[in-house]
Formats: sequence, C-alpha cells, structure tokens
Amino acid sequence: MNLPLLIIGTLFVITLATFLLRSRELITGIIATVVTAGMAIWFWRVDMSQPVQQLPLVGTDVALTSPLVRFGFTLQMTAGSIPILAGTMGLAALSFFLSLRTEHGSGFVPSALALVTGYVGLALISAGPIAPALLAPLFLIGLSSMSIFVFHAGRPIRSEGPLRLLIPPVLSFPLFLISAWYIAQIPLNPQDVSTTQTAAQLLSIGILLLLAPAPLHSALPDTAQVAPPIVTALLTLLYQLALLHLIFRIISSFPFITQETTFGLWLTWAGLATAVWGGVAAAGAAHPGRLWGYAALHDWGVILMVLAVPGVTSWPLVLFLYSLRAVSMLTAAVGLSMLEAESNGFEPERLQGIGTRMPWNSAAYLLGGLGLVGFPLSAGFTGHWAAMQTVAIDDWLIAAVVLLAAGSAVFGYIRMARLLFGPIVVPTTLRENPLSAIYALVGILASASLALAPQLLYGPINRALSAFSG
Amino acid sequence: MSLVFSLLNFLATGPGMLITGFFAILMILAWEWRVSLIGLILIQVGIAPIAIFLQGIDAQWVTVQTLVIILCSLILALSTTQIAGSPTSRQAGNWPLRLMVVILLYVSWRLFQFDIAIPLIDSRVSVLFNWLFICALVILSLSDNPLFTGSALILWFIPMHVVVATLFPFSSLIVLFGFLELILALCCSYLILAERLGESEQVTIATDVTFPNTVGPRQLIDRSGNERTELLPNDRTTMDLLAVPLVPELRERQAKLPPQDAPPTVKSDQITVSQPPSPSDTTQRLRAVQPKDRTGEHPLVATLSKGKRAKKPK
Repeated sequence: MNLPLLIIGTLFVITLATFLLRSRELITGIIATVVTAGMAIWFWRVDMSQPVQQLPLVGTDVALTSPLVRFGFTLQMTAGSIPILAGTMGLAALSFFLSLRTEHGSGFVPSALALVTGYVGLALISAGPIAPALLAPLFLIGLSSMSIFVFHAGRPIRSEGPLRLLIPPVLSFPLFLISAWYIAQIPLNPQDVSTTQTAAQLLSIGILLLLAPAPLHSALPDTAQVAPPIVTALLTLLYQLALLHLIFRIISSFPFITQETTFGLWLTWAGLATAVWGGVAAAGAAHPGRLWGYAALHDWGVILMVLAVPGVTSWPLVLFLYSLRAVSMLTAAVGLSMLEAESNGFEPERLQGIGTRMPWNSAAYLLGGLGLVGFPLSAGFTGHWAAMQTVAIDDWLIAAVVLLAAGSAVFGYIRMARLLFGPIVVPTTLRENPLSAIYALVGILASASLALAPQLLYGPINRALSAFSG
Repeated sequence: MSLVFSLLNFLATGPGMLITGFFAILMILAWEWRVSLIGLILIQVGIAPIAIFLQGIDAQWVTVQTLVIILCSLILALSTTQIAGSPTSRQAGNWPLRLMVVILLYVSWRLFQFDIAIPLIDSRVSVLFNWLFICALVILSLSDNPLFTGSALILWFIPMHVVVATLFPFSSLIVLFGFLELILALCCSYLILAERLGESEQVTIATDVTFPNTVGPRQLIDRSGNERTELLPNDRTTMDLLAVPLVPELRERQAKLPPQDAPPTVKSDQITVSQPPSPSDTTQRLRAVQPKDRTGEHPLVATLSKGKRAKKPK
C-alpha cells in the first residue's frame, strides 16, 4: 500500500466524515483530535530504518518510502519530512482539543482538516516539474486561500486581515519561478556568474516577501484581533512551520543565495524592523487580541534575525524559538478564547476587571503573551535571551534595540493586566468554569515548565533537525 | 477561439500593446467594479495574441487561460451585484487623486527607465508586462477590500501565465495556475459576500404594543464583528414612539388631573392640536381628541387626514 495515498486518503475521509457530521461540533472535534493526535504519535515514533512496517489498528503492511506520482508531482515520505508531519499533526491535535471548549462554528473542523491535508501534501512533495522548493509559493497561495474560510470559523469578521494573507505568496511566486529558470541555466554556463547572481537575488527577495516582515506584516495583528484566537494560532503556526521548512530546503539546496547576495543583511534589517514595530505597536494596543498579535509579530522578528545568522548554529536556535513560540501562542489563545467568550467580544465594560472572575484564563493569556516577548520566567525567556546573545556577537546595538522593543511590549501587557485585574464594572460577570480553569492551568504549567527546564525541548529539536538536514 | 485571436492579432503589435496597457490605467482611474472586471477580461484578450503569435505558446493553453479569467471575473461580478452599498463598492479616494498617481507612475517610469528583463520574453512584451505588474501593485496599494484586491491579484497572474508557459511549458503547471486563479477568485468572492454578515439591523426594542418597528441596515459598530445585544443611550425603543391612548383611558386620566392641569375643553366638531412633545419628553403622551374621532390613530395621521388646523374655542 502506498503511504502518501494512505495518509492523504485518511485525512480526506475524516474531513468528509466531519463535514457530514458538522452539526455535532463536539463529536467532530473529538474525532479530529483523536485522529490527528494518533497520526502525530505515529509519525513521531516511526522508524525509517525499516522500509516496510505494519500499521497499527489496521494490521496492513505499508512501504514507508513508496512514492505516489500524480500530475507530474511525486509525493514521498522521507526522513526529513517526518518531523514536519509530526509537528503539523501535533499542532492540529492540540488546537482541535483546545477548541472543544468554545464554539467555532460547524465548518471549522472539516475546513481545518482540509487545510491540514494541504500542508501534509506540501511536506510530502519530493519531486515536480521544477524543484519542489521553488514551486512551494504556488501551493502556499492555495493554502492561504483555504485559510480564509477557516478564519471565519462561524463568525462574521472583517475581511482585511485574511485578505492580506494572500498578498505575500502571490507577490513572491514569480520571483521563485523565474529564478528556477536561471538556476536551470547555471550548469549550461558555469562560468557566467551573472546567472547565479540573478537567481540568488530573485530568491532572496522572494523569501523576504514570503516571510512578511514589516511593512507586509499587517495580516497577523488584524486576524489576531478579529478571528478566534485558537484558529489564529493554528493557522499562523502551520504557515510559519511550512515556511521555515521551505527556507531551509532552499538555502541548503542553493547555498549561493547567501554567498552571492547580502541576504543575511536584508534578513537582519527585516527582522529588526518587524521586532521593533511589533514591540512599539504592542505598547499602544488596547484590544487584547491585537496586543497578542503584535507580541507574536515581535517574536517573529526575532526569529528572522536569528535566521540571518550564518552557520550551523542558527537553525537549532530557530527551531527552539519556534517551539517556544508555539507553546506561548497556544497558552495565550487558551486564555484569550475564554476571555472573549465571557466579555462578549471584548466589550470594554465587560473586560474591565474580568480577571477577578477569571483569574486562570487571564493569567494564561498574560503569561503566553509575555512568553512571546521573552519576559523572564515565561516560556520564551530562554529562547529570546539566547537569540539576543547570538545577535549581540555581531552588533550589540541591534540587540539593545530589540530589548527596548520587548520592553515596550511588556508595557502594553502591564496596561492590559491593570485592565483585567482592575475594579470590575459588570458585577454579573460569571466566574470561570472549572474545566476552562483546568485548560488554562495546563497551559500555564506548560509555559512554566519550559521556562524552568527548556532542555525538555532538546530531544524534539534534535529530531526535527534531521528534517532540516535533508 | 483561435480564429478570434487571429482576428485580434493587431493587439500583438506596438499600438495593440498600448491599448492593453491603457486598459490597466482605466482600471485605476475609474475604480469601478464593472470597469475592473471587464478590464481584466480585455487585458487577457489583449495578452492572448501576444502569447500565441510572439511567444509561440499553444493556442489551447491561451484559450483555457482566457476562459479562466472570464470565469474569475464572472465569479467576482456575481458576488458584487449582491452587495449593493457595501464598502467594497466604495471608491479609493477620488479620480483626481488616482489620476495624479497614474501620472506620477508614468513620469517615474520614463525617468528611471524602469525595465526588468524577463528571460525568453520579447523586449516589447517585457515592457508591457512590467507595466501590468506595476499597475497591479498600485491597485493593491489603493485597495483594502476583496473586490479590487482580487482584481489586482488576478491581474498579477495574467502576464505571469505567459511567462510560466514560455519558461516551463508543462501542462501540469498550467493547470495548477488556472486552479489557483479560480481559488483566488472564489476566496475574494466569499469575502465580498462575508462583508455583509457583519451588518446588523437596527431593531427598535419592543417594550410596548404600538406601531411596527423601524428597521434598516446599518454598519457594524463593533469592530470585533459581534452584534450588540444591549441597549445604548441612542437606541430607540417603542417607548420613544408617540403613543395614542384610547378615549376611555384618556377620560380617566383627565378626570384624575387637577383642574389647572386639565386640557382645555373642546367642542364636538373640533379637535385640539396640542404641541408635539419634545424629543426628551417621553412621558407626555396625552392628546385631546374628540369622541367621534378615530382612536388608535397617530395625531399626525389624524391631522393630515383632517386637513385643517384646530380652531380656537370661542
């Protein structure tokens, strides 16, 4: 049996089943959680040294590396794609589990599963008419388009945020395709350096566009403000995981990008602008979702700056930062979703003092958000501190500016904390449900555990590095 | 369709390319959804002879691409026709501003001799494609709604189809292109329709049985997209509407009032038109009406139907 067909077929069948059962949101949520969690565990534990394995529950033998060729594209599971698949499934499972507590509309689960299927397909592509890494922006256009339907998740939201998601991949794909042609010409004229330089410049600009640094960043805070928090966290993390994997494949396949251009410098400045703007805008954000979005933007800027660091040390740190980012974003989303539900869409009167009635969810939101800006004793502190040390080796001034921006974001969270834990205005605000308090407590414990023992992530990161080693 | 493109082969000449480029300017200047969507089709029809006769692309592929663009425009047009009066149909600035933008764009184009060479693409065609790319970027920068952003993104795809078909003549890639264009159009169409989901009707809260509620669409005031369920000071309720008491009820009230507060007596064939209550006076509801007058009728309606002012008592 063909493994890629089995994986995609299973996800398609589950998507169809959840669509037919979409009126039963709790049942579809549980089904999606169980299936994606099971697939994540299987991906994580699969041993590629044995080419033929028996599938659990089914008992059928399957060839792990058997390819699936359709329409000129080859889908095949490789050792490098396993951590990406496991990470994608794990994020999806966590998000489906967290979304069980709040209503996300009947279409959320099937549409999110369809999107996850798309990301799995992207990770499995091993060959195509041109290099898969250079075709990826086209697939990201399709996945970003599907994300628009998932963002609505049962509520009417403004269209600007989801709409802006489409712009970076659409603007970047011509650069990737034209650079693919130049790359194909390099072996024909190896002494012509202009071909290599042109390809490197086009790819550099294309990657920068895809990363959506400031001023192309506006999709993230806009969607964080209007879309359900857990949906925002899931879609943002899935997109950025696929993006990081794509960038590594491009840089490792075409190393002349960093040699023929000042790609590192552009990435540093793009990351700096993003981190600074995220921190400054967070200081002035009055909406909890928007504040969270700007904090996530600041964290993304730090990741971009670490990406710019040459050498083999940067990718473990990038993966470490991304893992901490995922934990922080999901922790904040847990608390934010309950605050949103109880405050009837963040109405100012209801938000004032809501922390006195919902202390655990408020604490989860604050702790997760502070983890995105590297506040001490939060999940992101160790990662941000290591990143600043790495950046400061070349230029301490840049690291100081980023720290100031982080401080600015912390100021925004202090204002928010005063609002949440201040005098309550609406005395009829209900106390938080014990189950939701447990959810928030688990998120807080996860963040605190990583703050105290970041080495818990070393094992998964080393495993993921195999993906980023080809 | 190949015959149609053969008839239009003048568009593959210099003046023809100028006409195609002019359509892109027209999309920016007019900033009207009909002009934008028809402009997309006209630009694609203008690009098609270039692709076939200058770039040597298979006519079948160009035909499919043209049909896809027509379909995309139809999808967007169908959604736009259903949302009359929405933010999507609003103009970005005014036409003098957009004219200045176009003039500035052209002056910069000539001043900086902006020309990015595209491999395997004729130099004249490359100039046209660069112009279309820039026009798409201008539309993206001026718009923040699904319709015009979608038009700009599809405009971005039109010349790239020719480039990709020239550089990589693989049918799977062309199919993927068309698929993505349709997906983009569907997504933007969905967002156009979804803009209306946020509109809520201003419903007068029923607190008394009087007249039908006053309803009308209005835009969201809640930026998070949630409808309001609580009263605000400016909300109107049925208590704010003028109530017309029944005659027996009025007689009882008049009997309870002190003599100095009692309304003036009237004759049987006269009605007393009292001063209308002030907007802030929600408690003054009494009207002096004749027994023979119709009850349950708004005083204004009664006044208009009588067609005369009340005469002062002698």
